[in-house]
Amino acid sequence: MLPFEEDPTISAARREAIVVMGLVATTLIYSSTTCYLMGYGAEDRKLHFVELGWGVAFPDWIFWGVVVPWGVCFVIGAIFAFGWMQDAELGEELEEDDGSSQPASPADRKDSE
Amino acid sequence: MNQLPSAGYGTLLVLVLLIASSIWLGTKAQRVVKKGEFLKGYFLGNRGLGAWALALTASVQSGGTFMGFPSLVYTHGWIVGLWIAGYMVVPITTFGIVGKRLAQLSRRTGALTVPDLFRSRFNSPALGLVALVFVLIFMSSMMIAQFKAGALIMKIAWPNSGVLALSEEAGSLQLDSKAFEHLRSHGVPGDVMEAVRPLKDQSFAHPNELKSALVSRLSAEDAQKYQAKFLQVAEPVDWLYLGGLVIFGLTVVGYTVIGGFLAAVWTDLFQSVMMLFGVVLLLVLAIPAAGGMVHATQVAVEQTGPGFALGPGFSPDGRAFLPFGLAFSFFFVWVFVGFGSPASIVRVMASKSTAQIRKSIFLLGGYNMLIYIPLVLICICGRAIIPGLPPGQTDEIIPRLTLSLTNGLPGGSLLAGLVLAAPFGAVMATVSGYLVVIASGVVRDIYQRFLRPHASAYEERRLTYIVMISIGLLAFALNIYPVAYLQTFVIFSGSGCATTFVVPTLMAAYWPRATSQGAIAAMATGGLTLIAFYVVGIFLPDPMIGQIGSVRPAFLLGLEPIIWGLAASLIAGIGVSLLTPAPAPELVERMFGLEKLPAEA
Repeated sequence: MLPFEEDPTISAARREAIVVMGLVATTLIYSSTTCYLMGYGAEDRKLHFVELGWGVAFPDWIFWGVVVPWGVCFVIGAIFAFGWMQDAELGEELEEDDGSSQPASPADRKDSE
Repeated sequence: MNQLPSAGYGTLLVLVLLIASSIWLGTKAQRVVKKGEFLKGYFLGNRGLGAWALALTASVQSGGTFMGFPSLVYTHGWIVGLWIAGYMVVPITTFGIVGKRLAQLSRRTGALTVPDLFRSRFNSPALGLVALVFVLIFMSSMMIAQFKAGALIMKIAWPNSGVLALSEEAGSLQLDSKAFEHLRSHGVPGDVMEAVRPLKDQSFAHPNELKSALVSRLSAEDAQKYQAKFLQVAEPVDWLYLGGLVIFGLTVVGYTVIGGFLAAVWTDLFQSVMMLFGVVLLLVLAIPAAGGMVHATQVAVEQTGPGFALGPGFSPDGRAFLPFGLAFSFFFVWVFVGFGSPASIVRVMASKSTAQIRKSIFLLGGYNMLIYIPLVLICICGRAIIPGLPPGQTDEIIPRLTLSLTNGLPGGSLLAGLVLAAPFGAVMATVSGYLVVIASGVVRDIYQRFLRPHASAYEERRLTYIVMISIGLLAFALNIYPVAYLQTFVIFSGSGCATTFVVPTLMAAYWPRATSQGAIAAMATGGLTLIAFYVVGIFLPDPMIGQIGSVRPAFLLGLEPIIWGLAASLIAGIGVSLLTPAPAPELVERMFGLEKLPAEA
């Protein structure tokens, strides 16, 4: 428990990060398991393709294990970005007082203007 | 093997236009930099990055995207689709996990660089210094390796050169007639020359390969006596490569020096669009030429074996390219390389607002889908269209395919240039981005922080230019005899950044109890664990999994070292933080509390 009020931007960012980590874990488990079960270790089996037209086709295990989740992640990413992730004020820039970055020459002063 | 057409003048013209555009963008960026403070403008673009610039430049495309990755698809088949699958969540992880918080923290602390951010967040100069050391180790190695790729692309684009030498392992050593004449005139006996004659005009990828061939044909005594002479004459000066290195180095260092961070970002954005154009064009040409994907796969399987269309992938030497443990690991590699790279972190720090971060997730999601899935399709077609490339030349599949598919088309030479501009752009973008990060580390985190806190803008600017030019010269010198195994460097550098920075970044962003000692422990343990795995790997026998090549890490329990590095970093970070005194309450409140208005403060 913090002895001060936490910035709500941080709470929101933490919540969003947890959701994203959940998505990563789900995708990792789904993709690797699907590809492993459908596409590994059966060299004598007949290869099945999912054909999408114009000559574009994928082996079924790549289609269901990689292409489909990739599309789903894109859609979830869009929903996350435009429907759930909150905008926040990022705050004012801290001004340093160490004297750095001060123009030293007339040319620099002109540059800074 | 298909006869390869050489690049025409149009190809060179497009690359020259790309170079000119990059320099022009550098000068435009310079005008923006001049409007504010030098360091903030030059190293962080005045925190003004919009969604497009953020999305298309903060990811991890590099020379490897258009050389190493296509080579893997060509060699191992469809399994590489799973190898790269982690990219499906890279947009949302790069920006969704720490993007908003890093942008906020960098403003709260006034940080301009990644070491600067850690130093200020934990109020620890020692932590800033440790971060800088790791930035320099991992980013310099990657940046220097990329110079080679840039030089090789320039060499290919040279009209009617008849060369394609993208390959890292392609035969660069050769004993030709001139070499034999030279050796004869320099006292090598006739019987030795005769014994070695069968090696005439053969190519060797590496001096060790030539040495082995010599040892197998000569007596031990003769081999020891004349080996050095043979090696010396087998490695002639490659003027096209050196010319390419000079042009590439001058261009990329030139425009980065002129415009700094914004020049790197704008040219990166421009080049990312070129990459997308190149990939889509190649896809449209390749699929019909291969007779569709089903036919292309069948042809490839006939050439290789059923493993080309199944897991764990085909390998000419019988290794399992992607067993389940590595497939699992590579998901982590791409996810954490995405947001652990200091080049990515600094771009998030430079974002204009959270609205731009949100839009970037969407834009990068679409972009990655349009780059990586088509690249897999293109290279499967490549296997059918250009069969039988030997292992040392598979890196050349994209340029070979480009020249082959555009040959005879109206404006084919120009189209080939547009496609070749993609890898050239990717390499330039990587080098310029890393150059800015490395120079900012030296100027901001060493010179300004430790040596001259009150340095004037004039001093800072002069030192920045000196550092960038020096790094460029160093990279040039080291690439006269370039490193081998670019893709290994890409994974080493990316994984190194991830194991070093991911856990400390999460601690900095979300854990108020995290201490500076804990962050140092997390950084050092993660980075050193990864380096240790690569060092140990040199001494272990080939486990016959993963990529073909003589440089490989140790795969403990069949997993990539990034998993162990991240685990070690996490344990060290949490453990040391809990064992050390809690950070000062004022510091924690400043980083996690509501921002106070000036009147309240």
